[in-house]
Amino acid sequence: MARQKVVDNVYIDLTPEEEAELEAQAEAADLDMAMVRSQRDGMLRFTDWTQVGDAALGDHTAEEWITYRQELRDLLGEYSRVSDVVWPEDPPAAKVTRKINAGEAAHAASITNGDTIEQAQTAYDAAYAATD
Amino acid sequence: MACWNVIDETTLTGAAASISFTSISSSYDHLYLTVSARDTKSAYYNYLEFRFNGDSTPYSNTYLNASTATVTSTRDTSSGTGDVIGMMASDDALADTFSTTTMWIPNYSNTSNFKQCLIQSVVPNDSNTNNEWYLRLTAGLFARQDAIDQIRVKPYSSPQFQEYTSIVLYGINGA
Repeated sequence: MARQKVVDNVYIDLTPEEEAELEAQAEAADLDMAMVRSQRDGMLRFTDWTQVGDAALGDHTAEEWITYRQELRDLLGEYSRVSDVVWPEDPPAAKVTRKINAGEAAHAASITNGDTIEQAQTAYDAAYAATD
Repeated sequence: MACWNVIDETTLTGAAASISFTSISSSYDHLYLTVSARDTKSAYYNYLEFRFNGDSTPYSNTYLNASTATVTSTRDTSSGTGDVIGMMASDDALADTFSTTTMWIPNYSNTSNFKQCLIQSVVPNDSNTNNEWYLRLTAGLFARQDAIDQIRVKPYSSPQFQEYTSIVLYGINGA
């Protein structure tokens, strides 16, 4: 079904030329990394504080933040299409991901072993808590 | 006292690639648009393009942007420069969440000066994560002396507006 536009409240099918123009714009947009660069720059600015000497980093080390920020800096060299970009996780998000993955693995193993749902949930919780 | 006249109003009953108003009367002092929008892009936000009179040039944009704790100012030299640009919610934002954009086009029908506009966009989202919400203030310039009698509004690139996206075009007199 053709895409439509609305002109003065009337739905009208796009012409083949208009469809082609949209596709060309989509291709150009996918190659335009300006929004990615803008987001990346914002994320770097937002984490500048982690590199201050006496910053309170909580559960994470300055090295973890340095690694994350380097991944952000490398991002534009690694991707040439917006649709391919995979954003690195900052240290707190990465920690949560590790915990969830460990919990889900323990849950799956528990189910495979024939445990009950409650036992599998207990295994999930234990693995989640034990993972740093 | 200012008199606000609803020139036209569109609320989508299905997806659409763009929304246009044509044959806009020159009988008002200013134009004002309200846009409640969400598009189909797999992202948290997208550019919202406004094109006047069907012209793809010459436009210019200067922005204040906030999508993290740090506010930035930019000149548009790359994305969507064939239009003046606000921001809008996309499909990764919380379900049923629409962005709001308002736009002033003062003295839109004069034929002596270029047309400038003020666009304010807020893209809310139920998220504390950077780059999953957006605020933008745009100073837009359409560097033609022609009166504005057509406005096309569309998402940047090929996403479509979602159902329930609505735009109201006002003509203001006596302000």
